[in-house]
Amino acid sequence: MLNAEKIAPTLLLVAAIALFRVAGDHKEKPPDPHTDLQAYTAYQLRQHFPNVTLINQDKKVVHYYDDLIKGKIVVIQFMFANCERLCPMVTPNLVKVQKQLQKQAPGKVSFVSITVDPEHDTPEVLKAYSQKFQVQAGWQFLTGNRADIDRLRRELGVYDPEDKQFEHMNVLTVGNEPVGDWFGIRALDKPDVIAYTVLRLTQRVTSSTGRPPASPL
Amino acid sequence: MLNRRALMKLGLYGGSGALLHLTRLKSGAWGWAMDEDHDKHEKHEHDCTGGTGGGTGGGTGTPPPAFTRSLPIPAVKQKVDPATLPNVPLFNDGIPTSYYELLLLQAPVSIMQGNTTMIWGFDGKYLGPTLEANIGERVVVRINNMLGPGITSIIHHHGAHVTSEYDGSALWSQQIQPATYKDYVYPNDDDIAATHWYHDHDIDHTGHNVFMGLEGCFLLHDHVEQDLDKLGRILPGNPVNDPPVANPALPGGFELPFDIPLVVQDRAFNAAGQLVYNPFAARGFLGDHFLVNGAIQPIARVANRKYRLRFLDGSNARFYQLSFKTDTGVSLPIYVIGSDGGLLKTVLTIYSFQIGPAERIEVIVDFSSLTPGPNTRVFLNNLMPQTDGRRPAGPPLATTANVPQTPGPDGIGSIMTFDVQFTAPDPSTFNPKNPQTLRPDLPVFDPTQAVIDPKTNGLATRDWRFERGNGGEWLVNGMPFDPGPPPPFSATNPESPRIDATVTQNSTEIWRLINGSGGWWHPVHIHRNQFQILDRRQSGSNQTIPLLANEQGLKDVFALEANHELRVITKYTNGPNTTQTGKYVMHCHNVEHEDMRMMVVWEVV
Repeated sequence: MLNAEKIAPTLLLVAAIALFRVAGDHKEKPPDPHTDLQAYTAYQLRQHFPNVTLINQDKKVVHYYDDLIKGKIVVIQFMFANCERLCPMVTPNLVKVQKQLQKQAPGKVSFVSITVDPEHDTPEVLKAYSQKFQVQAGWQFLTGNRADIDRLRRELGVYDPEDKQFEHMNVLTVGNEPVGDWFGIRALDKPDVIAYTVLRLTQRVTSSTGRPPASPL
Repeated sequence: MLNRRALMKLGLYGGSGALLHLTRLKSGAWGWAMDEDHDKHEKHEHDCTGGTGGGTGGGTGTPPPAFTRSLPIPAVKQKVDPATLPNVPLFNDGIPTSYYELLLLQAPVSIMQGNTTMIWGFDGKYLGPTLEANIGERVVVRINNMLGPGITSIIHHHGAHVTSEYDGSALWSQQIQPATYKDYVYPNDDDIAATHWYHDHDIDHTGHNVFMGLEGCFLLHDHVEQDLDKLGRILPGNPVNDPPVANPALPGGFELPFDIPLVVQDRAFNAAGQLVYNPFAARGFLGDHFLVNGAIQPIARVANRKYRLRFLDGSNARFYQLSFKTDTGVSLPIYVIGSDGGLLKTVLTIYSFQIGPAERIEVIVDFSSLTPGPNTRVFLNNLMPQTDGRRPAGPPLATTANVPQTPGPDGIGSIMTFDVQFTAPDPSTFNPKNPQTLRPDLPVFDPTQAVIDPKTNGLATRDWRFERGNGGEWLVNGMPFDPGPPPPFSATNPESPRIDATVTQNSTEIWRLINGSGGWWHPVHIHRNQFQILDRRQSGSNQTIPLLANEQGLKDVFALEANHELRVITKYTNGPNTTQTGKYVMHCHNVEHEDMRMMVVWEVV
């Protein structure tokens, strides 16, 4: 028998989750571009970050936008464990970037690596991969549904139609989500170049349009 | 300067009657300050480009119907007294020097119906004001970066010979930090009269920054135009012999100029009327709305006479093929008189022309065969289909083709009209139908002076291959742009980008630009110099391909089409008053390709 009194809290919870999901799908009220163009740009660019479900190397279920992107300064890499051409160079390059940023801006930048070979790259495989490269805290490796992952890549323009196997591309996506400053950067740029570029992103702050900083940067 | 209404829109209008306004700090930079005295700002009311409605992000902004907006003509920037610019470089060398000041601002402008559109602009304008100078006149421009916290910019005077410090290359040392300024010194002493322009060139962000509006025209004039007048060959719009006339038929006694810059851009907007840039469109970003001088599909109300039109493709990645077609279906002849670097040696007559990102073409169009009237209309049609940032989708349509009044996503359609409504005298005597010398002193570079490297098959001093690499990289000669170790820089740790060529002052070199990128097009731009194109051929073939009309003159942007190679030549001279050494860049001016490192640094020693 259904007990309305017992079900009500569950319904409320479902409703709350539904509301939460709506927020995650970027249905929030847009900021006024005339008063905060950065926040408005960030709002517009959120459409490129659908809140799909992924699983990380510790088998934890995460939502792409809510858990990995929202409010963060982030470096996004697409990779796969069996990659023999680019990833064996890119991942160690990124490890150096992470080490440098931990010194320069500790705890401020997160790293997200998403496999483009989800059938092979289980959380266990990704865990072993992350351990092999001795990545530090603040860097998650993710797998999921292939269609979802393809969508994420296409949203970020990080696919090469001229690469027949995995359309794999030597480009990182970096961004400061709250201010909407996102762009691609060559994944094999020297680690100090990538680290400096990301460090500059940490200096962007949301503010009213055109208002100068309170103190010199 | 911003007025109170603009500040209110910016959210900077303080409470209790106080007003935040821009003021100069002791450092010489601009900063915001509170001000109780509003009156002194009111006289600047007309400077506010904000139009209809304050609007919120949730409001709407829809494109105006085609051919309802008047063609804007950017105002010519007025000089300032250097005494108003603290710490500005002063010169006692007798060379005439003009001073200007520009502010990089986020500001609302009226492009759409409904909401105003927030842009990034020089003085808050979309496009920036036009800078003008005579050859031999030094220009000092103070650029104040007021874009916001953490936002840098670099400004490039595109087309000019300048010392590398003021070149505005995408190098860290050239960034104007937030809330600071840089004084750019342009000698204008080794150029000829030409349609140059100025625009943002920041690292990783040029695509976004120019899309948001950081573009303006920089026109250089010289004695040759005046000498043409002495020869009785007055170009339309000549400021002395064919100045603008007051036209009482236009609102406010608006003047009708006969020499008009036309900056063609494709842009994308959302339903709220805001510009929408996609920073992930690394193959090249295309817009689906077409602006000329910052207005969507405008009307130029013109007289039945000759006009000098200076085209600039200010788009990020789009190529155009433009033609003039009357409402009765007649294609007007286009008399090409100039290219990126100035006037051609002689006029060339065509019926449509190709123009790619950053290229300039000057043409004369004669509306005198048309009877002025309320319905006499000439369409400026784009015939080049392009649906992808990599390259056009196919060959251009014939000028006889019927095209939609408003372009679809492929860009084919009418991007503006010239409504022939007035009768006006035409003192311009240059007869474009008779080939006559325009520029007798056009520099001719001597290929026999160039040292040839045998590795180029005996064709050039250097080869530059623009290509796609492993993992879709954007490369030149197999390498991406390498800026070297990042700041801070010092005397012992100077900026040290990888340098791919060292050129000796006053030497002549032939550069071969090769497209090895499997079907992509690259509009290649070389800083510092103007070049002549020696020839264009299919890669690996001896068969040459005829040059386009505007490719007969001086060029600084080269349309490197799929599987083409071009040979360009110049002499790396200095100006008579300046030595131009140091680091310069060459890059793809599809600005998304540029941001993705399709760029090399070279130096002059």
